[in-house]
Amino acid sequence: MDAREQDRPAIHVALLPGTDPSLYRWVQIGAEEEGVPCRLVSEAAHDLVTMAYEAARSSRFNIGVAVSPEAVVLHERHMPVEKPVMSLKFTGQADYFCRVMGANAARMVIRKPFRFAGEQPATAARSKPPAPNGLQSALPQAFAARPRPAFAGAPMDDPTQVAELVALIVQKLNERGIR
Amino acid sequence: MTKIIAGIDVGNSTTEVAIAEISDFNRPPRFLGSSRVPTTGIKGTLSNIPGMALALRTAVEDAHITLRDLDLALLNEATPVIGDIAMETITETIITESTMIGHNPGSPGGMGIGVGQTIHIQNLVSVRRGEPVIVVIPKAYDFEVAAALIKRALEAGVDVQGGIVQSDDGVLIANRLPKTLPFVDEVGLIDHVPLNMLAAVEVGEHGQVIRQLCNPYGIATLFELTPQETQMVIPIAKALIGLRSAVVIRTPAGDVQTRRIPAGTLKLIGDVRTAVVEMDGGADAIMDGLAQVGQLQDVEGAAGTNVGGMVERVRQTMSDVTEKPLKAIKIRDILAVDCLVPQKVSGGLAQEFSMENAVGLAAMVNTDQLLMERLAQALSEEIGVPVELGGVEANMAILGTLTTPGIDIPLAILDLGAGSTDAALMVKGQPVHSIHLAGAGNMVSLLIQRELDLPSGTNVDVAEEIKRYPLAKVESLFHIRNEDNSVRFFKEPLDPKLFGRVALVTKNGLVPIPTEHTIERIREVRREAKRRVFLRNSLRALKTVAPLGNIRNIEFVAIVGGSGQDFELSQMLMNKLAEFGTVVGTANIRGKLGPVNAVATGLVLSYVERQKAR
Repeated sequence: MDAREQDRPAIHVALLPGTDPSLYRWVQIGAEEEGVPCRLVSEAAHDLVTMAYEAARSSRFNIGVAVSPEAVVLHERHMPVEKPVMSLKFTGQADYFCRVMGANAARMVIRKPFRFAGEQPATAARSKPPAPNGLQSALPQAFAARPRPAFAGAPMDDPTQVAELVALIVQKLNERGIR
Repeated sequence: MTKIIAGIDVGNSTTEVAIAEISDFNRPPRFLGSSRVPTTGIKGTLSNIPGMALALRTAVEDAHITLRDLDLALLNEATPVIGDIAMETITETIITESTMIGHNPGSPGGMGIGVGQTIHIQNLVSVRRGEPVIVVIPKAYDFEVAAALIKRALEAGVDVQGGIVQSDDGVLIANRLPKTLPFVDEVGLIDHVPLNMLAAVEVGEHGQVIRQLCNPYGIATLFELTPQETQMVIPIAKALIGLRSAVVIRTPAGDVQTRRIPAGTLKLIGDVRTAVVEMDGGADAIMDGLAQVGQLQDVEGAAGTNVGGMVERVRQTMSDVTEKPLKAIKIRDILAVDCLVPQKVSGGLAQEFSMENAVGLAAMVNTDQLLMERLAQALSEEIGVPVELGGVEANMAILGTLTTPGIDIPLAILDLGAGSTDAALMVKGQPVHSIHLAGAGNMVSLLIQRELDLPSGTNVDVAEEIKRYPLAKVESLFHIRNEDNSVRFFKEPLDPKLFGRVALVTKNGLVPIPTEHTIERIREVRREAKRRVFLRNSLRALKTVAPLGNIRNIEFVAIVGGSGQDFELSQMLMNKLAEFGTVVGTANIRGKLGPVNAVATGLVLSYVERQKAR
């Protein structure tokens, strides 16, 4: 690794001795998703939190991650040493937690809200459109049950709709070679 | 002889009490305590009793006396009005066959635009050389496997143009390919993507939005559409505006249409004339119509249309509340507000939303004195203290406002509440002229909630909170940037849950807002909602009470009511009314309570005056 490479800002990731080296790759993948570079460094520290802090101190982004066989910790240079930003215990697949932590380390750089383990991606968790407020509950049945003129179910009194439907069915039959 | 009396003001949102000791009717009363608690139930109904009892108990505690010490309680006369709000969209996009995925995932992969047949990744090996394809990649395919398969296909001469990915791996796949291709990811319902159909995938450049697929002619160019077909894709293009990435699939029978729900017409029956207004014209047309009809007597919506349903719902609620027959409910004022609300696109594959036009309507009906008399009697039984009705609300509010230091008549007040915006004008030697208009704080909350698509019905109303507190962005674990761009540092690190989020600056610290909107957007929606409801209503109200109908003839305006405590509203009003040369300020009831408790205080004062006159 030449000096210039060493100088480039990156999230620093350190592994506690005895940790599966492939976990670094998962941290890296998490960070890659957010478009932030990552580098494996070796720090001399005995506990995981201190190691993460040392990694953060050596990173030009001021952000470090440390991985042990049981947990992954995210640290930031300005935080008190004993108080990491986030710490995840591996309660399931270690690679998943490492990937989440990698993404969070990157999110600290790009200032996006963190992902929390076990939570769904933001878009999937998006709430359904809220029911119109207030009065809706008291609405007379006639208005509540107003049918939508969709193809299914609704009576077809609109000739253009009927024509469209017929065309559609003929097309489907054609596709299947039935005439 | 010393008497201790309580003034009780039941509002749409809060119940306020003022307690005073009167020893001599020629001397001003000595105020002992006051309270403000949330109103229980709808204003003017028996369900208000628990709230009133709690307000009284809190106030006597504040005054260091007991409920038994009270000689009399005064209730404001006939709540003149009850307001309610409703909202209805007037356009809707319907997709009858899955044709598009407009989508804004956090991180789509690659960039550019690709057009080709959709093909499942497992069939990539059987594609002929040079054939343009869009790869469909379900979750089961790990990004490395997917990237390897696509890479091999590219090397074999298959013209891979882009991909649709179910998991969140768009970036990772794109980064592992020899050339830059667009990948749209986080497409939940990937099994619904039709295979072997012509599709276009577009991912915008960094920091930019898509350009081709949100342009009807762009889609027409890619798919070689006829002018008639191009007309059909307008709703698709519209729904994709402003997104970072999108997919449009051309299915043979796929047709997309914007169905305009008949929004209907609103019949405004006034004492001067009757106007029929098209809802399509939006809020401005409705308010213009309203200005022409004189004093509003009732409103009817065309049957079988959205607005018809809306008006009937208001009537129904009011009829339930007041126990009056449906026909006897007359709508005495409405406020219409335009807004754009996100609506889920029916038939989309990844929960697409499209912005649709909607009109929000606040309506107000008159109630009668009977209700309040019933309420007074019930309260008297509950607390064991005689209860009297004492005075019209607007007059009481003016009397209460006059306890503000430095205020004198002639004076106009603006009472900005939760359910209604009221104005009253007091000139020496003339009766107080007052008006009640539909639409106030609750309407603002509704607009914020709908425009930002916030969850409703939870125990904490996010929209209500946004209305009340200024915003800040948490930029690091040690500092936030307020909405005015100033920065605040913290000694102790903030909760990581706040990091990167837009939060509300409340008395109890920072509260993150569960939404992905930017701080600028939330601020704009909030201020616009206040402007459209409060500014419009304040001008409307002042114009009605002003001498000769000209606001310039009012010199002093005092703001009272719960919404008067709003952190930015009084400044907004001041700015607006400065145009008319009118002085506006927030009242400070009894020199210490701010803009609240005006009516409760006024009730006590008017009792003293009546006794003095006797």
